[in-house]
Formats: sequence, C-alpha cells, structure tokens
Amino acid sequence: MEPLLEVKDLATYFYTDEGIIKALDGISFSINEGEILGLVGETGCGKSVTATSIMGLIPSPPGKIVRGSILFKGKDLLSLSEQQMRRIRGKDIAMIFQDPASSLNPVLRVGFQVAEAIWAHLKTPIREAMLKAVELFGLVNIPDPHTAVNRYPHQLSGGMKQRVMIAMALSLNPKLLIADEPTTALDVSIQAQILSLIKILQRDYGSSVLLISHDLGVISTMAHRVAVMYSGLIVEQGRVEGLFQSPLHPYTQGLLAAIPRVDEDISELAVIEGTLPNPINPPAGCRFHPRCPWAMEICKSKRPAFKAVKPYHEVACYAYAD
Amino acid sequence: MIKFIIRRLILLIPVLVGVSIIAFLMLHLAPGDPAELLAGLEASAEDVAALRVRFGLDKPLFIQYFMFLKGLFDGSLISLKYEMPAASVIIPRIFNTLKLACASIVVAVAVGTVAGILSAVRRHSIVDYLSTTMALLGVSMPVFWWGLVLIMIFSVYLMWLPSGGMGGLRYLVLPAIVLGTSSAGVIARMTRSSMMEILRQDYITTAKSKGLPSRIVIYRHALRNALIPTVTVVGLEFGYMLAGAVLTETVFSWPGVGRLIVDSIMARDYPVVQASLLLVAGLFVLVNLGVDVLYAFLDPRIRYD
Repeated sequence: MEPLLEVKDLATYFYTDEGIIKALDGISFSINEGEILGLVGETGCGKSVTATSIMGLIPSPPGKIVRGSILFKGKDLLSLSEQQMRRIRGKDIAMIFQDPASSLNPVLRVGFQVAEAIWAHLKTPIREAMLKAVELFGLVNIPDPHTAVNRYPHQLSGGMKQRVMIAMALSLNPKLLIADEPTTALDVSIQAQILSLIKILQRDYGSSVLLISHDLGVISTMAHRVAVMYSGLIVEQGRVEGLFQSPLHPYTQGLLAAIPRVDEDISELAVIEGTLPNPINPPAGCRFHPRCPWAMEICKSKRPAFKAVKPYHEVACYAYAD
Repeated sequence: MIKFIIRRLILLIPVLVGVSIIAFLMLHLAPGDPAELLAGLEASAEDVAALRVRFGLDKPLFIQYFMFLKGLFDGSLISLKYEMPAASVIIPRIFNTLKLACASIVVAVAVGTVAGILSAVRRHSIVDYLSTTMALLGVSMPVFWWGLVLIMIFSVYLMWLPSGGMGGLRYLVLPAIVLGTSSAGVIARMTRSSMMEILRQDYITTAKSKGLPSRIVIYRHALRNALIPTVTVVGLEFGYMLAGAVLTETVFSWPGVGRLIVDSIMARDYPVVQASLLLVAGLFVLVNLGVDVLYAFLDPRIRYD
C-alpha cells in the first residue's frame, strides 16, 4: 500500500548572517493511512521545521527547502504553486501548534476562527460555518459550545484554547494532522485529556497523525511508529514497541536512559554527555559521533546510511554494519 | 464603557482649569501691554490708562483671571483687538481648522497605512525601500517649503488648484496634502513596524495553516492587531493638526485657529488667546478619549470597567 505521506531526502536550510543553518539535512520517513507517527528529539533538532516544511510555511527568506520531495497521496507538495498549496493546507493537511495561547488571534472570536477555516475551503457562508463550529466544539468536549464560540481567546483557559485549535484542525476532516508539541504548554492534568482526545478523533476520523514531541512518554502511549531525530537528521525509526524495548542507536539509548524512573532509587540522573552540535557547522560524518560512546574512525568522516536491522526497525549507525 | 467616557469627561475639568491658569499666567507675565498696542503710538498716557480701565487691565491678576472665567461662561469675553465677542472671533476659525485637520488626517491615514502595509508585506523589496524613503522625506520636509513647492506646481504652472484662501473642496486639496504629509510619514513608519511585528506572531502562522488567502491573513488577521499602535499615533497627529497648523495656515492663507492664536499673541489679545488655547486643549483631550474608545473596539482584551 502506498503511504499517505512520503518525505524523501528533505533538506531545509536557513540563510542567516551568521551562516547557513542546516535545520534539516536530508530526512526521509513515511506515514501510512490511519497511522500515528511520533517524531522525537531534543529542542532544536528540526522537528518543527519538518512540520512547517510539510505545510509549506517555511518563512522565506531566510528559509528555503533546498532538496528532497514531500509526496502527499503521490503528489509532490514542493512542486505545487502557492495557490494549490493553499487548497491543501487546512483541508487535507491541518496543524495543531505548541502554544495555544499565542496560536489564536486575540481580536477574533474563537468560533469565527474555526468557521473561517471552513469558509476558506468550502465557501460556506460564515453564519452556517458558525453552526458547524458549535458542533465541532461539542465534539472536542468544550462545555456550552453555543456560548463558547462567541468568546475571545483570552476568555478561555489553555486547555480550552487547545481544544479550539483541535476543532479548527479537524473542521475539514484532514487526511493528515500534524500536531507540533500539542501538550507541551499545558498542565499535566490537561495533557492527558488533550492526548486522549487526539487519539479518539484520530480513530474516529481515520486520519493519520504526525505527532511531534520531545516527551518520550507521550510518544510511547500515542504513536504506532516513531522516528528519532538528532541535529537535522533521523537516526532511528521503527515500531514503538520494538524501538522502546530495544533501542539501537546510542542516542536513542541515551534518551531512554535519561528518563528518571520512579520505581528506582536514584541518586544521579543519567545524561548524554556533551551538547547538541552547532547547526551552522555540524560535525562531519555521523553528527552524533562527538558524544557517542561507540565512536569509530569511520563515524568522523562518512554519514551512516539507514539499515533495517530488524523487521520494521531501521537505524543509521556503523555499529550495526556487517 | 459609558461610565468610562463620563469619568474621562469629568477629568476634562481639571485639565481645562490647569490649561487656563498656565495660559493666563504666561500671557500676563510676558512683556507687552495690550492697552499701549491698542491705543497706538500717538496716544497720551491718559488714553492708555483709560483703555486699561475699560478692559479691566488695571485690576489685580487673580481678579482678571476670574473676570476671564466669568466671561467664558456668560459670553461677555471681548476680543481686545477686534472689539467684538471673543466667541464670534474664535468659533468660525475653529470650524475652519477642523475642516482642514479632518481632510489632512484622511489623507495621512489613507496614504500612511497603505504604504506601511505594503512595506511590511513586501519587506526589503523596491516597494518597501521607496515607501520608507518617502516616509522619511515626508517627516523631514519643512511645511513652508513643501507648501510652496506644491503651490508652484499645481497653482502656478499647472493652474489646477488655487494657491490659497477658502472656498470649495478645491481650496482644501493642497493644504490638506501639506498638513497631512508628515503625519502620513509617521503613520507609515508606525504601521510598517507594527505590521512586521504582528506578521511574526504564531496566530498568523495558524491563519496561513488554515489555507486562508494571504489577503485575508493580512487584512483580517494582521492589520487589526497592527492598528492599535497606529491608532495611537493617528490620534496624536490629529491633535497636533488642531493646534499646530500655523505654518500650513499661513502658507495657504487659511483662516484657522493656529494663525488666530499667533496673531492674537502678537496683539496681546489676551481673551482670544486664552479662550482659543482652552478650546484646543479640550479638543485634544476629546480626540484622545476617542482613541481610547476606539481601542476597545479594535481589541476585545481592552475593557474599561
């Protein structure tokens, strides 16, 4: 079966005064129909740039997609005109952002902001679209949706705002939902509610989801498959169970080891030595090699290729070369 | 909102009392005697003294101040220079000034916001460079020079528009452009910077991610947020136009209140100066109140009660 979204060798650079930031330097992954793909990695590793690249919303200048392709239902999004891309945004691919507090326009009523998305694609009169918004608000469990649609963002709590964002994203039954750190800005108690809401809606609507998070716990409970990013590259991907139980890449192993466990008495937190490399001048070869406990000579000069070590489990690391 | 407006109107009273005292003191402490000016060079000391008694200029300062206040309320305030009620000197002038200021602010807002938006949307393009250069020119050009240039082009050479005076709409065009030019520049710069700031906000990305046409993203989502600082500037500029259009009024022989104030200061026409200053100060406060009310319409987060 053909995947819904197939990203191949995607590279997005930002041309700044300090130099070229290679935010993405050739990443490849795919998402199947009805699948939730988790994208994990530290802050600054290129997760959000991946999302905005797919949406075609890289601010240009300074950003530019320099190579690769993004095949959505077999069509390369990078070859589309702005006009054609606009018809896909919000309708076929919708997005939920990290901070609901800043993602809603403060001077427009929240219901209108949802209705507007429907209007943009179906040309439904706003009055009718508002009725649809009420319905959607009910669907995402916003209490008293009739009143809520007429509220302004500052009159709603963070969790409610994120529900509005979800209602907005789902308003046109998108095939693909990109959720960029959808719970990071929320209280822990609200996080679980929002995540289960996304999961239920994903199941009911049959949408695919690209779930971006730095939170391994979130990814492990939500995703079917997971891709681990490090410094603008994907270093390992596979099914959630396999990857979390037996991580292959030393970076993934470090990430999982760094989660403090409540059932163990620990005096010291595990850390990955070193810091994220400078994205303007990343290390040659495998970008992780300066921090890698297994680093070999070849790691310093040549970037490792992906290799399927187990079924549905690939890693880019020379330690698994044979 | 109504409560807020009433509260602000009540606050107008101390402002006006303050302005009246300051205006009164400044005038009376400045050298120069209206009685001598009125009587003329050949007048005898007795004539001058008689005039002084007639206008109450021989009384102590605070009595004069209260006479002025009394005159304001019962309409007995008399212009020393024109020897007619101050109200009938000032009121037509105020309307002329309002007419000019309204026309100028329309010019300034129309040109300024459009230039600012275009600049911000097409940042670092030719359009942006042109408009920022024009804005800088507009702000820095002296009014009298710019006025004369326009008169030369449109009145002398092309003979399309009158060079001065008042009459139909044709007479309003050049002075409105001249008075509005620097404000257009200020407004353009403000709109540009606030639009650029707003276009970086997350909710603009959200709006784009919904698939909205960029026209809607710019005008519905960005502009309304960007207008709030712009409205502040528009209010201030409008206030200055009401009070400080002396140069434009002089270049175009426009009988406005700015020129009246300057002429009356020269003639030591105390009552007219004081009453005009009060009126202008009151208008300035009202314009700012209007701006505050407008904020609440633009931004639902701003509430006054």
